Amino acid sequence: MPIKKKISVKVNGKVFQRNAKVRQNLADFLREELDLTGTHIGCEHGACGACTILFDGQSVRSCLMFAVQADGAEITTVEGLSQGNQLHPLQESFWECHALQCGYCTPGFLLTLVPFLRNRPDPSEEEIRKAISGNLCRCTGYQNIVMAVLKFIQKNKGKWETGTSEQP
Amino acid sequence: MLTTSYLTYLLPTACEVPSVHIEHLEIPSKLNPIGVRGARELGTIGAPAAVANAIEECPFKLWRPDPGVPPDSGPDLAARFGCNFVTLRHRCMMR
Repeated sequence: MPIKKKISVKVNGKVFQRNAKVRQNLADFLREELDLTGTHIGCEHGACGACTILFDGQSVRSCLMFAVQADGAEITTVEGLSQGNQLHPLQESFWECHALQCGYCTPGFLLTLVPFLRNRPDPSEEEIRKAISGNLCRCTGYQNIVMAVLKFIQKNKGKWETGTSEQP
Repeated sequence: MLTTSYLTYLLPTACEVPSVHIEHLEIPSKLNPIGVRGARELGTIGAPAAVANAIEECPFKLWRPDPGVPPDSGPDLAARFGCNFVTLRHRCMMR
């Protein structure tokens, strides 16, 4: 019988209370306990970035954290980026630029880019490439991801709220 | 085994993959009537769909590329894919 600890975590604006297994990582917790399967698990040792989420507004690899560490935290997963059928503006740009091939790495890329663009609204292409260098795309489809970011910047200049943690 | 994880089996990242510009060069082969060339090791996932589409779009019911796929055998072809012909067309369009 695994040892469990009661945690309370706010995910995508909704508070969840669960008994989390103390050895369960946060990525597994989100997928298995909260059924939020948009967070993908690639390597399970922090090398690929597929499981990236926003943890109190910061990009974090959810496979490198235990679920119990998220007690009291505020988390955004890829499910929390869109508002119903309304995609997040960055997702719109990904869609327009065909910035995904198999799509497995996409949630991780999105959640790496959202805080990056919040802090740095007008980066150069080189800076974008550096920002996503910790996320692996096995299709190596980085070019269209970079193009999507450039398109997002061009389309949302001044429109996209920066510097707030309210809007991801 | 030296490459047991992504820390030792290094994949290219966004910093290593250069910008690529794609151009299509269409040079039909002279060795066969329809000019096709070998697909080599590329994925051939689109090929059956392209064949089904070509059959569907063919204005003349003359083309008989394979005895298994006669020109008027849309429904049979669909049955081979395990769906009805409307679904097959839909699937072809999705590809």
